[in-house]
This record gives sequence, structure tokens and C-alpha cells, in this order.
Amino acid sequence: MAGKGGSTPATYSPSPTTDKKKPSLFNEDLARPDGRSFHQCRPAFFRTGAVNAASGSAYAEVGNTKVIVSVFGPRESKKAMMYSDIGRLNCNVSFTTFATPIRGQGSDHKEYSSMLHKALEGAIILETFPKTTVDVFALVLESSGSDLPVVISCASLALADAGIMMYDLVASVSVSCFNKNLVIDPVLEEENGQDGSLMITCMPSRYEITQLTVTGEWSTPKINEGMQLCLDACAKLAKIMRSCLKEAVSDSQE
Amino acid sequence: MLIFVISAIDFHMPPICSPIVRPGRPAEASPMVSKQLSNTISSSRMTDLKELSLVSGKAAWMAYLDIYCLDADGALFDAALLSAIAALSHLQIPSIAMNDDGKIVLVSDEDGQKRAQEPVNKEKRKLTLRSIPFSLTCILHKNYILADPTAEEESIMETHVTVVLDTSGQLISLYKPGGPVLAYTSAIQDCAALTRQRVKELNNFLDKANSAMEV
Repeated sequence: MAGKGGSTPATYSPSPTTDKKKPSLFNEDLARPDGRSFHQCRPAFFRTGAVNAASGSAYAEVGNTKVIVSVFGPRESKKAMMYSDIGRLNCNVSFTTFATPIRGQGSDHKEYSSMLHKALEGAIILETFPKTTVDVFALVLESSGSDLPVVISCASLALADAGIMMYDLVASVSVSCFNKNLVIDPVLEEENGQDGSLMITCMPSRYEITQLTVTGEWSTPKINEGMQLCLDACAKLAKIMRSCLKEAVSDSQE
Repeated sequence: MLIFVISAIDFHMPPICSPIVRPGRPAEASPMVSKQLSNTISSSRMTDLKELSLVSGKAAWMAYLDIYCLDADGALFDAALLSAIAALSHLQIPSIAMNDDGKIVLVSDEDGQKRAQEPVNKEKRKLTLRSIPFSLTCILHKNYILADPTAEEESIMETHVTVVLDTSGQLISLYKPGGPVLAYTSAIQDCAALTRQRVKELNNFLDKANSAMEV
């Protein structure tokens, strides 16, 4: 018994025969399930003004991950809320029932709403809309891995489209760790088999990080390498996002 | 004995679609449109539900029809019905087999192994759709009929009529949920005439979309 002194606690060590290896996701020539190299991101597509009813909106497609975000406000805060000198940010992330291979599986990610809030809060100049609330609602249409980074990047674009004052656009990228390999922008298959993950949300122009999430076991050099990978990818992603905003402006002027 | 299963139809209005919809509480229109869709699809008899049967009395497909409104800008039912029909016309039922335990298994063409079981249905197949229903919502205001209203128009004027006709011109349903304006026979006939015109347009549009999707 564990309570008795002198007795050794029961331990379990898997014998070599029962220690099944995790099936390798990568084939011999080090290619990923979708044929990308380890440090290659999926192609990204962004478009603003997807929802007419919203103050601002954006649609994002990164590989097969599809996300749509609407921004409403600044509008009057709920009566129950206390007076605030600065504006409030309210975020909600939901999944369609058909977003995941198994129907309704997307509802597992309840924490995404608060993570989106934390990622965007540092980039928005909340002082510019006191006593009011900005609502950011995201809907994942198809989940194919790296959902949260896509949601965050898309939400930042929607906020810009809504004319909400921000310090900078927010770009987000994640990295998965497999033994000694780091793979950027993992797909669902890779996320399910990863040893650890690292997600960075940053403001590339200011070189500031608004959110850093690390799960699993990482060594210090690996974290540094992963962070550098993410920051480089964020800078490239921000360029695509900026060009999307410029396109939208030039289209409206025409 | 179970031969087939009626598909579950759900119309969702997530908070992204309108400033009125908030997370946590479903939109008022959502269950109404779901019920209306369910009634229209079942009463139009456009699908033979026996096609969803696999083994008589033992197994059948369950078809879930989830429709998401991304931007609520009026005539929600019309858009929902059109998207439902487009989805059903694109639906492919995968080929499956029954194993020794009487369980249904998917037959994959990729694996080179010789199939031990005889497939219940030999190949991927599509549902047979006949007499497809299409709808048009009109607003009645004084002596005017306003077809296909926007959300703003719907909020100002309270009386609307939804007419559902199938491709053969038969009336499937007529829906007038109250409102201060009385719908006279002539007004209803005018709405039906507008719908008949709309049915032709939508049917052509759907045919083009389907032919573009086929490889």
C-alpha cells in the first residue's frame, strides 16, 4: 500500500515487446502527408468584406482550413457590465458541425475563444472606444489543422476591415515537434501525432509577441529554433494580409 | 422494421451572420426555418427515402443536412432551400459492404486486397432528385409586391408570403405568417407567377453549377 512506510510504490515499465512505436507520419525522404517540406507553410488566401451585415469581416483559407470572422461594434456594452474607461473585447469561436471528419467534433475546443481574446487584446487600442464593446465572432467552416492560428490571423484582418484602431496587424503561426524534427503549420494528421506544439501570435512590424503557447516537452534550443521559425513565417503571413487590405482599399476606390 | 431514416435538417444562425444574433442563445428564425425546410423537403417528395436503405429492415443511411447562414440579409428560407437542394444534388453515397458479423463497412478502392465481402451497393451513387422545389419570398405593402426582400426591407414591412413551387409548376407550400396586410387571391396569384419565373432561373442556375462540379 502506498500509505505504509518502507513499501515501494507500484511502478510500471513497459517491456520492449509491448512498447509499440508511434506510426511514423513521415516517409523515408522526409516529406509530410501533404508533400510539403518541414519548414514550408501551406498556401494562404485572405479576403475582407465577406459579411455585409458586420462592421468588418474576413475570410481565410490556409490549405484546407477555412475560417470566416465577423466584427460587430464598437457597440453599447451590456447593461450588467460595469463602467469602463477603456473598450471591451468580446471573442467567440465556434465550429460548424461539418468542420471535422467526425460530425460535431469541433465543439471540443472550448478554450479557443479565450485564447483568441488574449491574442488580440494586446494589439487593439482599447482606449479609443471607452464604455463600448467590440464583438469578434469566428466560425471554422473546415478544420484541417492549425485552426487557432488561422482564426487569430483572420480576426485581426476583420478588425482592420472594421476600422478598429490597432497597433499592428496580428499574425499567428504554429509549429509541431516530432522527436528531433520541427514542422511548421501542421495539418490535422500531424497535430494528432505530435510530441509538442508551439504557437506564436505576434505583431510583425513591432516585433512584439502577444501570445506564446507551448505544450509538450521542449528543450531550450528547440524552443528558440521553433520561435524563430514562427516569427519568420508570421512576417511573411503579415505581408499577405497587408496586400489583401491594400487590394480591398483599391477595389473600393475604383 | 426500419427501412430508411428521414434526414435530420438543421438551419444554424451563428453569431457571425447578424448583429442581432449573440452567442449562447439561438436566433428566433433558426428553428422556424428548420421546420419549414423539413416540411418542404418531405412534402415535395423530391427524394425517395428508400434510396437511403442499405439492407431492408437492418441498415439505412442517416443523412444530416446542416445549413449555416453566413450573412443574414433577408429571404433566409429561399437561400436555405436552394443550398439544401444543391447539397442533396451533390451528395454521393459511398459504396459499402456487410461483413460476417453483419456490420456495415466502407469499401475502399485504394487497398489492393481482394474484397472478401460482396458490396451491398456496387459503386458511389447519387440520390435521384425529382420535382425539385424552389421558393420565393415576397413582401406585401399596400398595392405593391416586393420580391426577394433584403433584411432591411423585411424589418420595415411586416407581411411576407413565401411560395414554394416544384420544377413541374406544382404548388408545394404557401406560407404567410400573419402580418397586417391581407393577402387577396390576386396578390397570391401574382406571387405564384413571380415564383414560377424564379423557379426557371434557379433550375438553370443549379444545372450549370452541377455540371461544373462534375469531373
